[in-house]
Amino acid sequence: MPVNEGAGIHAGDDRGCRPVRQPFKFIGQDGPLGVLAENYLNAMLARDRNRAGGLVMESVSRGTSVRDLYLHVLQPVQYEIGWLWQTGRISVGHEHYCTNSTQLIMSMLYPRMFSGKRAGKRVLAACVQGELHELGLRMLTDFFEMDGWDTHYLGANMPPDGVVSTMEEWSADVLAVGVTMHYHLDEAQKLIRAVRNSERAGRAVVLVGGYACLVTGNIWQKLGADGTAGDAQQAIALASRLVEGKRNHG
Amino acid sequence: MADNVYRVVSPETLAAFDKVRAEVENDVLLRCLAEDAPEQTMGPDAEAMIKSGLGFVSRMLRAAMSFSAGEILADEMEWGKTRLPEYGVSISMVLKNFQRYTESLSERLPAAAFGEIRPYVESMIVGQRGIVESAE
Repeated sequence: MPVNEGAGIHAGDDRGCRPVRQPFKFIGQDGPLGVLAENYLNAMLARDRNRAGGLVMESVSRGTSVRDLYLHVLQPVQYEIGWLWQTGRISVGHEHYCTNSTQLIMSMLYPRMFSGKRAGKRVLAACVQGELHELGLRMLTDFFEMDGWDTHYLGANMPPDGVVSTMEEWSADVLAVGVTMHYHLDEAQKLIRAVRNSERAGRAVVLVGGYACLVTGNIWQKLGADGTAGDAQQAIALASRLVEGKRNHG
Repeated sequence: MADNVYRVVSPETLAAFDKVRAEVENDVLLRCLAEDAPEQTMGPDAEAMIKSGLGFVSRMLRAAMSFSAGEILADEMEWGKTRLPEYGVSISMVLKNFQRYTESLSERLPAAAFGEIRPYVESMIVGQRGIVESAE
């Protein structure tokens, strides 16, 4: 990731936390939309979600695609926010404020997302039971939506029975499973087994992703999934290929 | 440590680990409080924070053993290197607690079961020792 050596940012009136002043780890002004990302981050650190939302909406009105905003602003800023928490520069409360504000701003972008040609494929997305880190999976679901898929997002902490019954009701082609914490990998395994045991849902393609899968290269095979992907673009390409393969081979 | 060192841990050993892990965590906590005076750097919440941290260690260790994935432990230690000092936890205290954790496990588990777990807990000690030495 690019590092902006010259950048200095401040956490405004974030009492109890150290001033944030360091090279960024995940944001570079030289990258696409880098200046916007830095301004968005500064607005969040100043606890000014109205300004952050305004920056994003203004950029959209000038023609920036939602996809680019996700890839080059919201995603790297969330990584940066996570890093600032990890290194003690912001509190857990501040981190949650930023994350929830970003989710709010994402929902403001939805009217610009649901358009274009439809792919004729369905993806259901759920985090495993116990898993509360849902933003990445929500972003992934939105990428599928922007690619023309019909999406059904279940969110955090889903019990296996609930996922399976929704897959059966809605006839999902793909299940996208999100797992961030390593100690939830066993829940991913339970969920995938439950899906495979379902007569009506068992033929769906199952992809698993999230931080826990990035760290451990072949974990998706051990979990019983059909694949994993390092980013949204790869996930959509893999899902498309696997679904078409299943359709072509009955 | 090479990945191929991490053998599959049997369901029986995982069950044995589950039975003793709370005792092990408590044992390590008591020894840490008695020998390291962690409240000096961590403040009055030291006991609760260490207890929580040891629970986290057990959960991550179990995940690594369940999937023969030692890289989980390496990743968590890397995370701890930056995060734990924010709580006033010294990297050398973490190393001591990993050593205590290993000793306590070895005392409570049958030899065969501990033999399966050993590569994982030893990798934690080796990894954390590397972090301590690189900071010196």
